Amino acid sequence: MTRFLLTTALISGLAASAQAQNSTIPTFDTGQSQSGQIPTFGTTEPSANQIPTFGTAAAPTPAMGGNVLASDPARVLALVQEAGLVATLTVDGVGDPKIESEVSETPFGIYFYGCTDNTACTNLQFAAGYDLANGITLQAINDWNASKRYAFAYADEEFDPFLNMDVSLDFDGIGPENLKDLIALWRLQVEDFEDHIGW
Amino acid sequence: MFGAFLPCLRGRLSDMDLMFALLIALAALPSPSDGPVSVAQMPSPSDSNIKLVDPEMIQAMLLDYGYEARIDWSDPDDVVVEGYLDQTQFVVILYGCEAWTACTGLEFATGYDFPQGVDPAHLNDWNRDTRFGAAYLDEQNDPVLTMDMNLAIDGIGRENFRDWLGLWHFLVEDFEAHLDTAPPHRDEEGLVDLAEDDTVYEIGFEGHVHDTLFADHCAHLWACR
Repeated sequence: MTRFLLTTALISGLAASAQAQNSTIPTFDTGQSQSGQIPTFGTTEPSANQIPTFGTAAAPTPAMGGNVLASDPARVLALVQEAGLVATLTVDGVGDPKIESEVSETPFGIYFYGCTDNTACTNLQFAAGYDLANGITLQAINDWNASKRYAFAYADEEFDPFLNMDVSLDFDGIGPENLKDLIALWRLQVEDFEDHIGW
Repeated sequence: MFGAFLPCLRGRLSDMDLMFALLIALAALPSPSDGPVSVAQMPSPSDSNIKLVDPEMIQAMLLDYGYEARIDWSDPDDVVVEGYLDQTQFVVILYGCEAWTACTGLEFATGYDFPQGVDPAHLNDWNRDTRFGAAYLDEQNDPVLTMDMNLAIDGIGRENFRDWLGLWHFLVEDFEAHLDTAPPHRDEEGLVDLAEDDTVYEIGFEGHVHDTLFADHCAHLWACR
């Protein structure tokens, strides 16, 4: 094994994927936000179109100001709902917070990690799994991971595919609009992944 | 609190690493002047968030953390920040930029040249067990590790960003340890891949990485159970 060498193919390949991703993954950027219209994907509820945007004339309430942390599951839930998803807050098998939601009729979970005594969690994992009759090939999993960002895939021991996206909300957290951007990205990735695996 | 922290350590840390881990954990606690209010109840202001970045900002933050870093401007269409830590080289690719300013996302990436490639099942195991990083095989069946950071719109907190930089170091070390036991790639007939090696691109850093020790980041970003 020759360690620590990067290939020109790698760098140009990554840059190529950067171009492709730039053109296919929308970010809710200032131009769109200022119009007050947030683009929707798939089955977004129409009522989700009108969302006050952070830092604009539609000022957020003080309770919604500042960065979002995984230690505040109710606020994470509210942001998931603001992003246009139906979601409920529950607990997972060990008592940590868990948000249950769905994209295009596919249920998925947002699991809270790094918790202490089921509170003060530090990060999230979005996770969706698919029970395929014939499983998935590792080649298909690899093709996904080579071409996509943020949400990555693996196959379990039965070769059923899973899609995960990890979000750190530790320390001073992330901006609420940044989290909603990731949620919108997750929606797109789930839909793309289902096409990719033939779901 | 350290009782919860210690089980997350993965066994490769020296006592010095552990000491720094504790110091960093302490530094993250609110100071006495903050009063008894918990961090959870105090949303941080987002006006100091990391967002709308450019190559110089990323280079500066890498240097501040303890990485070697420089910017490769040689290809105006392909500007990357190159990083170096211990003996690992990596690139930080900036996404969503306008003339290499106001970038909205980053991808950290590093690759390894294996003359016989790597077994995809071995990589799948790592992806199944590891969070925040993603691995794949390139066209030569060589492994590539990536980590994506979204900095769009209102961005992410400064300390959170710094934590990601430490996480990347952790992921690289963990991935390299995993690669130490990687079986070769085999074709459909079970034969070992003998594809020619790639052209290598060397990042020619001189000198050494800054004298910085890194905390284990399991307590913050790792699935510890």
